[in-house]
Amino acid sequence: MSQGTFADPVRILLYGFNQRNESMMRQLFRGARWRDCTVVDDASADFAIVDLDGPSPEKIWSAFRKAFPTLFALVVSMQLRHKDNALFLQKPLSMERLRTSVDEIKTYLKQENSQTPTDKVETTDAPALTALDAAHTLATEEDSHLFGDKTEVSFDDKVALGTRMFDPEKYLYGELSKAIEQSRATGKPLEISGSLYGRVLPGAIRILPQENLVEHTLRDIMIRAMSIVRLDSGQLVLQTKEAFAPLQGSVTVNLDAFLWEVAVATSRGRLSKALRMHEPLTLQHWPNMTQYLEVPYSLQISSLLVSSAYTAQELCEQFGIPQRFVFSYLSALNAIGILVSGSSNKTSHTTNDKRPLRRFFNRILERLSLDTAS
Amino acid sequence: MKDNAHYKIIFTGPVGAGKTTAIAALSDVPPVTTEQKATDETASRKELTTTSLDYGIMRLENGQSVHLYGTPGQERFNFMWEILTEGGIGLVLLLDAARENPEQDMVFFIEAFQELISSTGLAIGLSRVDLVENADALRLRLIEVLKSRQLNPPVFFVDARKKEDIQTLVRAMLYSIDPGITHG
Repeated sequence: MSQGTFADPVRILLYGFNQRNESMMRQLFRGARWRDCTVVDDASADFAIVDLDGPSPEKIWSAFRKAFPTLFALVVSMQLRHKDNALFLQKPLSMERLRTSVDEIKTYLKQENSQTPTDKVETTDAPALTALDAAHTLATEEDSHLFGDKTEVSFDDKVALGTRMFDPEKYLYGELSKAIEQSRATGKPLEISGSLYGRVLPGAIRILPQENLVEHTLRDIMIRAMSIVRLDSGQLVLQTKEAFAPLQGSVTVNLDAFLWEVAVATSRGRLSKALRMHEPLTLQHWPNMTQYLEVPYSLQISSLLVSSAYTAQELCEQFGIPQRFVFSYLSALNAIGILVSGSSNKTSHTTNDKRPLRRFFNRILERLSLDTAS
Repeated sequence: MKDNAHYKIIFTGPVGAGKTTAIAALSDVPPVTTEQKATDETASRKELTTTSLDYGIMRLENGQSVHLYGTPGQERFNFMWEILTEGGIGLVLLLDAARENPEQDMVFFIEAFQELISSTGLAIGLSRVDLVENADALRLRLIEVLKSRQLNPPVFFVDARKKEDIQTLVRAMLYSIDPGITHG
């Protein structure tokens, strides 16, 4: 890390990028949203962003460490590359994720600089990057809660892969799906009630098949809790019965949107066992995305699956989409019944594809995503 | 591509579907709109109607811009549509779910903009869904009609007043043109 006093704008060194990407990064950091950052070309940097997707990533990293032994780094790569004194950010980069990582590093650097020398001695035995880890945990708490473990597992490791799958039958999700199916078949409303941790649920869920609606009297947090507790644990007990009387004081939501949310909450970054990792899948049509809880990368995955069939593995590996988002999103699509097995004939959509307007589209997306975040 | 190229996103659809509002939601400048008091059959749907076009602009970080054009809602102005679509990178079709026959409206507009759709992309926003009884069924009917024409674009419920709905629709349109784009 720079020996100077840390202050805005934070000084960033770009290392390992090819000429084109470095030029793009420099352009990015000139943008309105990055006024608190400036790109420098020397050891005055507060931290570095190191691209490890060149032809010899280990050589790049060694050369970087030789030149800047103590400089903190943000490592960016399509592959998982965890390095000492560095934070890792998996490509493809998005403005939001890059912004979050830079903010985390700024928090860390500020904390480091605010410590007196005595503080530093006292904390030597503490695990490295404690402050950064804490900031990172805070920034990603919601994301981890909803989309599960960030670590990627090998698609060749059957044991590890097994931990990234779940059986819908063992959750509210399975019970709800069956009830919806039965209700639609008979045309009669059904009500789900029960108990959680031995206490009667403070409300119920009523399925209205004719109107394609669900009415319920449960808070969102309770539905989330019910979604993640396994039925076979005995801690969640559900009963489904015919119910013609409306629930007093209920809220009404679209049935598919409700099922979608339960599926995402249950999935937590895992793939439903109703699907197979290596099975090519395709979408019958786009889901009604403005009505559903958005999973990161869902628009990109939808556009791919509408035009061709892909396996979960292909979506992760060919397009660099984190597993937890692919698994959550495929589980949600499957819940609403628009995902089907497909042949593996593909239209070429690789990220290396050179389409004339791709860079322009990226900029529009960047702008729209910025607006969404603001 | 040249930085000063004039690239457009075209917003079209029948009177009252929310084109002017959608452009206002995305534009960085107050949209230029040419609305007049409606005097024909439109008067029953809205007091003011767009008689030539709506125009807005979305500025990007590198100094480039995307121009947002809304077509006049009334069919008697459709001589302007061909001129408007030159340089179009995609079409956002907004349909009013509460109109008498949204399927017919959709077919009319996808035929009118067939050339633009076949060379770029399409996304469909279904507005005023709260005013119809089973909007989900209507959406599925529209999708079936589109499939019979070998089209499978995003079809989302939108409230044109909600910026995030319009943003999601435009993002989906861009992905449907090129799923290999990587941001967001």
